[in-house]
Amino acid sequence: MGLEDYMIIVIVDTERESLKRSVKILKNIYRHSQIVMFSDPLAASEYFEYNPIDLLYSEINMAKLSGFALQTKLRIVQPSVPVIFMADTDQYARKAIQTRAEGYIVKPVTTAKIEEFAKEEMI
Amino acid sequence: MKIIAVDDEPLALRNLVSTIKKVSPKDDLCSFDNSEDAFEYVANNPVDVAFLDIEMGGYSGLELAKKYRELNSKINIIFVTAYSNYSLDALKIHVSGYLLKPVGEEELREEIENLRFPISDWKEKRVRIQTFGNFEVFVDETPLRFTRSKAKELLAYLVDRYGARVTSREVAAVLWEDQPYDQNCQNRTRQIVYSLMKSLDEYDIRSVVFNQNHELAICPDQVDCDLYRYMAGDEAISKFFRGDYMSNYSWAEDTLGLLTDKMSRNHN
Repeated sequence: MGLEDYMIIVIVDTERESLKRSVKILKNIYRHSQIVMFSDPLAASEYFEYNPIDLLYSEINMAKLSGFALQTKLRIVQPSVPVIFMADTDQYARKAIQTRAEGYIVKPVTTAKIEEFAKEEMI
Repeated sequence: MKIIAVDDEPLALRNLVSTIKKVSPKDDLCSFDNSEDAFEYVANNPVDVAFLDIEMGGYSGLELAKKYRELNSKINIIFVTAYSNYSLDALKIHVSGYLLKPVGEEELREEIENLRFPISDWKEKRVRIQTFGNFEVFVDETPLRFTRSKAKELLAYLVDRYGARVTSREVAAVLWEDQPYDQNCQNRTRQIVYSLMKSLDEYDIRSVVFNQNHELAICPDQVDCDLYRYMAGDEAISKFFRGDYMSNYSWAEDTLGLLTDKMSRNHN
């Protein structure tokens, strides 16, 4: 899976402004992919329960369902999908290591930070 | 499995070593009080799990981890540090764990039981298969004796097929190349299959070959095979590849070509 491939990428963030900004950046980088955005983590989990996805970007701090809980839900239905977390600080990085997250972005989300993962070959 | 522990503080190293020994007493453990020796060691020995301090003189734990990754992409790195501020860097290099000092027995056990790249118990397997160079099979480190050389070739072919099922007709075509698949040829093939299964029975290792409805296959997870280890990402094993693969059999050339390609690509 690389930048040139068609992927379905789900991004979840309860902060709408931040979500919009991130989606804009993702669209620029993953030009051939479809970006599916959610401001409600429960809606996101319902989506990937029925639709195959290739990559999940998720905020960690979310009221209804934390990013980690969302990751757990994803693992049940699509265990091999890489997850990249986003958060305001790096305080959850150790936890993200434990849950085998593919990446972790300390906000603000920028093109450079996303590109770091996008260019890495993901399995 | 093979574990190493690296910390340049003698006291911290001693604590770490004693905790590891308590948690997994059966595993093979080496400790290093400086990162240069620790680097040297991994360059020359297969290692499954590396516990690394981060702030060290010489190579830091992070640098060491990156070097290890280049040597062996499937090595499990577990940082053991007094600081949490490297966790983001650690995540970037896909470490298996990040422990804060002092390390407790319970958390260390949890790390060992949940490795990012789980260790398949190669070493506990009775059957070891060597494909680099000549094809050889060892049971409990003693060479397996085949009563028919064609039975050995058949097993080699199954290993080469990596668990794919092979029909009697295909077996005949491999063992007797151009001969027609007539009654005579079928009988001979059946005899070879019988002879192979009998040899396996003598060593009580029948389970390494699946044999049903005239179809045969190796069970890859039952054997410790250099080729399979290499395919699974154990690059340390490539040291044993000298440009030969099952050199006693001509049909092995296809795989040899693939192997040579893959090795040269990885080394450049």
